[in-house]
Amino acid sequence: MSEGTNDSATGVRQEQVPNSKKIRYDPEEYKLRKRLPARLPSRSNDVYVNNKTDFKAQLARCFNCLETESSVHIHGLGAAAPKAINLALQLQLKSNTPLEISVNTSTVHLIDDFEPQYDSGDFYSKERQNSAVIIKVYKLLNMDMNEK
Amino acid sequence: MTDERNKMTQNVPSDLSVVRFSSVRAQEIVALTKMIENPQCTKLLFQKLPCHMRRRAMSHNPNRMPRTLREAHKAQMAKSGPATQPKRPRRKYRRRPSRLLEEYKKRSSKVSWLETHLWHAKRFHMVIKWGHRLPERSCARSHRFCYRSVAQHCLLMDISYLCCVEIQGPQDEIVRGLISLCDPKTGPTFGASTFLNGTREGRVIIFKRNQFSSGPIGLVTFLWCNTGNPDMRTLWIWSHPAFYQQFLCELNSIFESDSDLLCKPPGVKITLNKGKLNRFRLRGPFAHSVVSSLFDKETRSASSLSQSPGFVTSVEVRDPRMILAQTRIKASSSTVGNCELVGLSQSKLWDASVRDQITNMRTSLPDHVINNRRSELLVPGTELPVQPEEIPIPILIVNASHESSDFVPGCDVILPAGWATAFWLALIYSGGHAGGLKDAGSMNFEYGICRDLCLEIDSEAGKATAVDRKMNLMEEYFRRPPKTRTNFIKLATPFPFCVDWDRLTIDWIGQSESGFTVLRDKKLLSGLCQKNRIVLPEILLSQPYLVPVTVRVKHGSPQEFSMICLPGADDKVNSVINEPIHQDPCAKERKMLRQQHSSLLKSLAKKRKEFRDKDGTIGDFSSATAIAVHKEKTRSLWLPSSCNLKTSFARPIIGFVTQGDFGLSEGKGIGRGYIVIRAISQIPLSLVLVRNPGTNLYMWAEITME
Repeated sequence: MSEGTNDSATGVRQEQVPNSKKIRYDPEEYKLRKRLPARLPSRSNDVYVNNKTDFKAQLARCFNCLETESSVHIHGLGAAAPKAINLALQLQLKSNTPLEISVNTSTVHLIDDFEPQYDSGDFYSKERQNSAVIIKVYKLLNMDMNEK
Repeated sequence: MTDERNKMTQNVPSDLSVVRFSSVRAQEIVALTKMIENPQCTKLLFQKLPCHMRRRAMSHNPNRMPRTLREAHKAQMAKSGPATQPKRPRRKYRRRPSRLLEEYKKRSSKVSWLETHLWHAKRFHMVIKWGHRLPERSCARSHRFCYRSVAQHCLLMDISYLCCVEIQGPQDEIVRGLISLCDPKTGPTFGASTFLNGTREGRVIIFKRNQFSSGPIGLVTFLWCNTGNPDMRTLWIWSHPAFYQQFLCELNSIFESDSDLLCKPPGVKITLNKGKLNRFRLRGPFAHSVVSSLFDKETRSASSLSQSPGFVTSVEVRDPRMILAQTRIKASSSTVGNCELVGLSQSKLWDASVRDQITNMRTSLPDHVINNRRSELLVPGTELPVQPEEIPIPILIVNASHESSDFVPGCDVILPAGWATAFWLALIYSGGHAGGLKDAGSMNFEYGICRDLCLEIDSEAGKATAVDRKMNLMEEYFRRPPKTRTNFIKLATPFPFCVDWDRLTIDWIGQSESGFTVLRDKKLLSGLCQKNRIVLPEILLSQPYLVPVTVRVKHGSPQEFSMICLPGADDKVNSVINEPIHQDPCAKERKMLRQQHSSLLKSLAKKRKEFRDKDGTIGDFSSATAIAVHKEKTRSLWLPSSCNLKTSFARPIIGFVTQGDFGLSEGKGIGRGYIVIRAISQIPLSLVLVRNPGTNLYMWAEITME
């Protein structure tokens, strides 16, 4: 078992494990609970993609945003990232006006709580990382330079 | 003139007889004395007063009469009937805040009010439950708004009706006593090491002492004080008022005492903290940012609250009335740190004397004084600088724990008594949306959280609530005329008002000594949830256990008392299955009974009339008993008789839904209910049929165990 250093500032144990031997928790002793990622402020043109809502509904929502705003920011985390990419590409295909796409990837810190199922265990949290993708889809504003 | 004088002197006799003179005079005197002593007057007292002493108001106000005559006047006034009622003060006068407090003191003998009652009473529909007057639902905000508050903003509830019990004593004694109340297979108990050091709040289901197979008492939350040597520790247990008395009985029997302040020689002391602490619950993504508005600016920027589940933080804050915002602001998210504010020092809230002192301080610095000072500030609406009389108020912030697979962030705030209104207003102004009992129920339904506010179906408190609900539903049903009532016998609904779980377990498993219980063993439950279903031992299958399940329907939604049924072996998925209309053998009997009853009433009325013409009274031909008997009989004929749930219907019933509605968090119809454990192995592909009460259509649904 490799050492886990306790980061005293955050109280969260950060495991440094060699790839060959990953520590599993005993499902009888602990239950894994995922915490929600930090809530980011969402303006009207932010769309967060998840895997539960229907694809068509999310596409319709993006189109709605584009009617009022000039750009839509599509956020996708982890398993929803391919869906977000698909959404952006479908948006580009099906829209009437030409749209440009700009993609950024980032890492999001997530925390998992381990909840003890019996008297002997103790609460602890582990931090892990997940990949997130932000796709900005914006309308091209045609500026006619030759207009007089 | 001299003539008259001459006339008078002429008639005067020259001598008189003394005897005759004195006897006549004596008679005169007797007559006069008699008249004086026995006044026979036809006039009332106030009519005999001289003109200058009479007053108009003396007709209704006896104080306008001279003192000596007042009593006699009152007696004369009373002869003409009782005085008119004093006029009721006008509505505006009745509703003045000072008078409302008097109203409370008059009414509080029967039901007690929360401290924030006046705020809630103006905005919520109130209901009497468990000896308290509690807000049920908002007058202005709809169900969807409150759901959105939990999902996206912050919902705020006053749950000060939860009762707190404080146990002090040696740690080993306390743990040893309480361990007999909890079943270690259902999760961590009072003595779990993770809760003993007081940094987290725990929750545990308590049972009757050493009787884990009969139903539980309920779910309680507990918190150890984070300081104190092992010989002297303090434990707070918060329980629901519905089973509070039962819980106290169990504690009494464990720690062996019989008065309010219980004391056992080795030193375990139990105090009832009933009115001494307030508790607010905030649930929603912005809960922590709303709570951090109570802190002053330095604490807010220096450290932000973590969301570690169950974690307890103790903070000392200023009087919220000093820093109240001028207008309501919308809650916004602040960065939630991962660092856990380690509150190693003991919060002053645990100390009873400090708590009482702080409660008294509330009345010593009243609202109007503070408002005056604030109005004198140079810039209106800013915070009041620290006042000389202020002392910091200790509060505890308890994070929400994981209760189900959906995690809803939030926290509970525990405050000393007397300060509820001040803190409540501060939290509302920082963006919390107030909610009531209905919202607690909806949170339990949508996300499975706030379980300590809801009762278990196999506990005594839960059963009593079910019986009450049955009475209410039956009254509502029978209030309708017979033609518009749903005929539950024809529509094959065995339990339209209340589910008889005992009947269900008897039909599937047979008679057993203990009644039904819900399976709470975590190991077994997780075994059932797994995809590759483990084969359960026969001993387990023959116990009357119920397993909590969720059914999800594609179109439509399940309702309360919906039946969960097994599909037949040949049923194709998503085919239409209908329950055939059953025969109603009681219809003829009801009709006959009605005719008999009306003829009986007519004959009784006739007899009464004859008797009255002869005698003047109605004799004993009153129809009251006949009406009561008829009512009972007809009601029993309308309700479906008990039948075998496995065989009487087109598909065997394996369970019922206890909460069913359109689930806003998932966007489809959801039902939370229970099924018998024996039927689990017979469910093909996690698909079951759900039939709503009073309908005959079977809906296909997916079933999951949590």
